[in-house]
Formats: sequence, C-alpha cells, structure tokens
Amino acid sequence: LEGFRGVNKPIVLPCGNTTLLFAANGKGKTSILGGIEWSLFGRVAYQSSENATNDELVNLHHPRGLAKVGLVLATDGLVYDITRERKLRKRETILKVKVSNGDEYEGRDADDFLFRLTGLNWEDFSRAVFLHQESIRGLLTDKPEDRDAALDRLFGLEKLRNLSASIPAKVVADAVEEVRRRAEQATVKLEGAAEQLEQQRQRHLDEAKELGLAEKELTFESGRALARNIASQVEVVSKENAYPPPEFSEATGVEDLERLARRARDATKGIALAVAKTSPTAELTKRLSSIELLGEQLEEDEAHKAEAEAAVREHQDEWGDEDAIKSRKQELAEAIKRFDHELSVLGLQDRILTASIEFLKSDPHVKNCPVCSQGINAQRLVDQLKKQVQSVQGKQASSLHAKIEKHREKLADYEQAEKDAIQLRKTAKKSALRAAKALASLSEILTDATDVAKAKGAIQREQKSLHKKLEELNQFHSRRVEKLQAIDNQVDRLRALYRFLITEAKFETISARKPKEGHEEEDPLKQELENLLGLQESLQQVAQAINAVAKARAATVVQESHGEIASLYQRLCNHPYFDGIRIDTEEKNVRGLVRNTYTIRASASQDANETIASSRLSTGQMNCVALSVYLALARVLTHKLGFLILDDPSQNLDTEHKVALARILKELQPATQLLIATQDSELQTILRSNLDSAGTLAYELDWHALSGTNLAPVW
Amino acid sequence: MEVDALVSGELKRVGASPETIELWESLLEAYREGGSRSVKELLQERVKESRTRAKKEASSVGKVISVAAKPKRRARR
Repeated sequence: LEGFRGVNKPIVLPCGNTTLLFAANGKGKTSILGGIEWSLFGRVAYQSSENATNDELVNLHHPRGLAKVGLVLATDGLVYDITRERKLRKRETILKVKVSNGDEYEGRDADDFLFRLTGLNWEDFSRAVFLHQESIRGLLTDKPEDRDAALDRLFGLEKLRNLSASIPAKVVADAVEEVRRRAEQATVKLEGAAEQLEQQRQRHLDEAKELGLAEKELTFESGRALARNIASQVEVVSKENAYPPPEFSEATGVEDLERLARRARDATKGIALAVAKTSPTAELTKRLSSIELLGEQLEEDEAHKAEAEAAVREHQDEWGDEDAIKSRKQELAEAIKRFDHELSVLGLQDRILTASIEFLKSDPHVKNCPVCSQGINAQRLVDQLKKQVQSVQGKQASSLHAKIEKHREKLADYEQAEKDAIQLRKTAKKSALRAAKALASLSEILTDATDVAKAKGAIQREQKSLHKKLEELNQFHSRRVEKLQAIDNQVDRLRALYRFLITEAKFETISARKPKEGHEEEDPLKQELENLLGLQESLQQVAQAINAVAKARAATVVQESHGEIASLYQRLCNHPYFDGIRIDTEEKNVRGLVRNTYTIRASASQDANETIASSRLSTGQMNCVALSVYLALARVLTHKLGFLILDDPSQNLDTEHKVALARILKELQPATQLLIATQDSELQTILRSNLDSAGTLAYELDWHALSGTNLAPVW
Repeated sequence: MEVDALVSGELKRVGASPETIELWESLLEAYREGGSRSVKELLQERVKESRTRAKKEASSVGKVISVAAKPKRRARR
C-alpha cells in the first residue's frame, strides 16, 4: 500500500494463513483492511466522501498525491497481481490485473475479470468477507431502522434499500396532482373561451347578416373581392372630387381587410371634409344672404326717409316754414314788448296821480298848481284823480296784462314749432343718408343697382340666379354624399366580415387547442400527465419488484443461515437462559415505501420463552449476535475468495466471549485465510494462545504523521 | 445472482412494460454513477422536466385564450 488513507510510504504486508494486526486506535489498521476492499472494488464501505472525487482516500502527505494498492491472490496454481491507483482530484481509478499465465486486464475488463474470479460483488463482499466494525455497531443500536439497515447490508440488500429509498414517491405524486390540476384548469378555460367565442361568432354573424351579407359570403375571398370593389369606388370618387386617391394593396390576410376598411373610411371622411372646405355653396349662400340683407335694409331706410319727409311737410302745412315761424315769433315778441311799454307808461301815470293825490291831501288849502300855477280846487281835483285812477287806469292795466299773456303763449307755441321743425329736418336728412348708404353698399355688389328702383330689380334677378346655382350644387352634393355613403356601407360590411372572420379564426385556434372528443391523448397536458402517471406506475412496479426481491432474498438468507446463526450464537454468547436466536423478516411501509424490517428474537429452550433480543441482551451479547450472523452468512454465501477480514471484532465482548470467538476462528483455520485487526490486547493474547501458530503472522502497527503507518512483525 | 438481475427478472415476471424495464436500468446506471443521490436527482429531474413542460403548456394555453378570447384593443393611428 502507498498513499492510501493513513498509509503514506509504501508498506508490504505479507499474509500468512492467519494474519493479525495489532495496534491502538488510529494507527492504520482499518486503512490496510480498507485497502484490500478498495483494490478489489474501487470503493470502501462506511467511508463518507470529502468531495465528488473522494480525495479522502489519498493520503494528504503523499508526494505525488497518489493512492496505490496492490493485492496478490493465488489459487489453482495461478497468481493474480491486482493493482489499483488513483490521483487526487481524479474521479476514475486505474485498475490492472496481471495473471501469471500472462493475461492482463485493465479498466472495465479488469473489473469484470475480478467478478468472475471472486464470484463476489461489493455488497456481497461486505456481508461475506469483510466484517466492518460499523456492521457490528449497526446491530447494536437501539434504533430499529438502523438495525434493519445493518441487517440489509449483511444480507447484501443495501443497494436495493438505497435504490428504494431514492425513489421520490411524494415528489412524483405531487407532480402528478399538479399536472392533473393544470390539465383540468386548461380544459375548463379552453371550453369557456370556446363558448365565449362561439357567442361572439354568432353575434358577428347576425351583424353581417343585418348588413346584407349572406352566411356563404363570409369568407376571406369574399372579403378580398369586397375590398377590391371598395378600393375602385374610392378611387373614382377621389378623382371626381380632386382628392388624392389612397393606395390600396391587395389583401393577403384577414388582418388586411380591416386595414383596407380603415383606409377607405379615412378616404371618404377626407373627401367629405375637403369638399366642405372648397365648395362654392358657402360663398353663394353668403352672397345671397348679403344681397337679401342689403335689400331689406334699403327698403327699410327708404320707408323711414319717406316718413320723415311727410312729417316735415305736415309741420310746414301747420306752422309754415322755418322763416315764417321766425317772422311770426318776432312779431309776437315785438307786440309783447309794446304792451310792456304801455303798461310801464300806465304805471308812471299811476305813480304821478298817486303822488298828486298825496300832495293834495297833504295841503288841502293849496290854490294854485305848483307846476303851472293855475288856480285849482284841490278837493275836486283829488276826487277827479281818484276816479280816473280807479276806472281808467285799472281797466287799461288789466287789458294789457291779458294781451301780454296771450302773446306769450303764442310765442311759446311757435318756439316749440321751430324746434320740431329743426328736429324733423334732421331726421329726414339722416334717413336720406342711410338710404343712400344702403343703396351704395348694394351697388357695390350689384353694379346695375344705381338707384332704388333699379336696385329692387337687380336684387330679384340676382336672388333667382343664386337660388338656381345653389340648387344645382345641392344636387351634386347629394349625389356625392350618396356615393360616399354607399362606400361607407360597403366598409361597414367589410368590417363586419372581418370581425366574423377574426372571431372564427380565434374560435378555430381555441378549437385546435381543445382536445377533440375521443382524442384526448393528443392534448399535450394530458400527455404530460400520462407520462407522469406512467413514471409513477413504473416506479411503483420497480419499488414492488425491489421489495419482492429484498424480501425473498432476506428470507432465503435467513433460512439458509438460520441453523448456523443459532449454533454460532450458542457457542459465542453461551447465554444461561436465552440459548436460541432467530431472525424474523417482515414488511414495513415507511413513508409509502415498503421495506424489510427484521426482528431478532432470543428464545429459551427450557420453557419456550421468547423475547426481542435487543430488549433483554447486553451490548456484548448483541455483539455476539452480530458476529454469529456475520460468520454464518460468510459460510452460507458461496464465493471463491478464501479469506475473511474482521475489523475489531471484540467490541464489548467479555473474556469468555473472546475465547469463544477465538475458538470459532481456529475452526476456520486452515481452510479459510483470516485477516484480523484489533486494538484489544486481551483478544491479542487469547488469539495467540488459541490460534494455530503455524502459518500465522502477526504485526504491530505504528504511525507517524508524515510517513504514515509502519509495520513491524511481532511473531 | 446479483440483486440487480433479480429485480430485472421480477419485473419481467410481473409483465412490466419495456418503459419500466428501461427506467429500472437507468436507475441502476445512475446508482453506479453516483449512488442514491444520483438516482434521486435523475428522478427529480425527470419530474421537474415534466412539470416544466406542463407549466409551459398551461401557460401557452393561457396565452392563446388571452389573445383569442379577450377583445382586441383598437390600435392608435
């Protein structure tokens, strides 16, 4: 061995008929024994992996990072030189077998050759040749599942157990349920969508029929023909209205129909809009409206003018013209002035008379007039003056006042008449101006409307002419509207046809996705479900087959080895009461997986009592049970490897058990080559005294960190 | 006889389909390659692939339905 686990520097282990390895724990016993296993099978039981390339098998200090184990076997006169090596970080091992007859084998051929040579696979090797200390520990555990696993290993069923445990039954079942749910949901959705589209299809069919399309016309070919027809009509109308014709390409798919319809609709709208902008109708209507308005205005202004002139004439008839009124006003003013003067003279006279009376009253004896010095009768004069004042003066004053009042009234009337005359004249002038303006405006539009009379005729002629033109335009417009409307109607039909075709295409898409009745297997989701169900069923069959084989194999092994196990147990354990042992095999369902489960029962022959071994037996006694099973199986299983390997077999055994084990091992000599490793010094002594010393080699093992394990022969 | 061959024989005896036999052989191959972990991964991968395909298929059905059954939005001009 070299560079293998605890072994670094090369060591050679010559083996006798019996080879004993003595050393304390951690000195390399298991490394040497594991080397034998590895050289034959390329792997080691109970060795947890460090990484994907199992680098833990290579010694850390080996200068070339190489593990190399050679094993020499001999039988029937031939020598087989087996070498296996591997490098760090390499997944593959290199196996070579050289036979003394000159045959050489490598790789897979060498593996196959070794299987033929030994008659063993790795699992059988673990149960029939190599008793690992872990195998013993597995039987000693309290956990039933660990014990089952340990016995499965001893029965060579570890691989089946692992394979069975690797089947993710729940994952598959969950996936089946998930896919089933998806398939059902998809079916429901597709059916719902198909129903909805069928309703849409019917609605669009009804719409198309209402627009005059027959059901048999609802095809893409009909749509294309309709689109072609619309395109040619749009082109004609565009030309008629000097509108740039849109470009229509031939429809190659249903979607094109909608695009063409939209383009045609845009064109008809565009034509209508452009025509509205450029049509003379508006201008003609505006001219007609202006002429009619100006005519009405002229007529109204003329009427006002006539009314004003009549009012002036009527006023003149009543009051005269303005000059006459002025003259009359002047006369009246002068009369009033004259009457005022007379009234003031009369007032003066009145004051003189009053002063004379007062004078005469103040001096009643005056005889002469103070002015003219004529003799006077004062009293008589006073009376005469009083009489004159009272009668003449009073009458004259009243008369004058009356005259003045009368003249003033008349004067006021004439003043008002003068104002009225001025106002009437102004109004008449304004009316005349307005009428002239209206006529001027009209004559700007109608050149022959040079006066009112001519204007009326001109208006009538123009009105007639404009009405006629508008009528013609309206007729043309109506024809155009009809044409555009006809195109729009066709566009509506094309759109209805498009909607129907699209809905039908969608309906067909959905129908294509929907599994046909009787062809559900064509549905991809159903197929996926079938695949998973198939996988689930296959896995169940595989699991059942594994279970059947495991059960049968376990039953066979137990049956074949039963007597041997019981006999070895009696000798090894030598229990004072429970003198028999039996392994019962049953099936157990663990999380959906059926597995073998084993019950080791200890029995007492004296009173036929039975018990579960692990509940009554001590750890050392259970170790005896494990050794009994292992050694019995080693005898039962037929193979061509004539040796047994025992790694630390005396765990928890007392002296009596160890002696019994040594005696059993001695019986195996010399027919079976033994390789025993132990750290137990008592077992060492017992083996020394019990085993046949002839052909027995014993080694003491030592270990250093850098050099690894060293061997020293002790016998 | 190796247990592998015994299981294969049992499968044939119960009339397992060729697919089941093939599956068993692929499990053995995976076990040889990487033990229990490889077997578990192989099966989980197969299940995952199937689930993924089913999910995609269901999604494509949903897409078809959403395109076909929902009203088309009028395109802006």
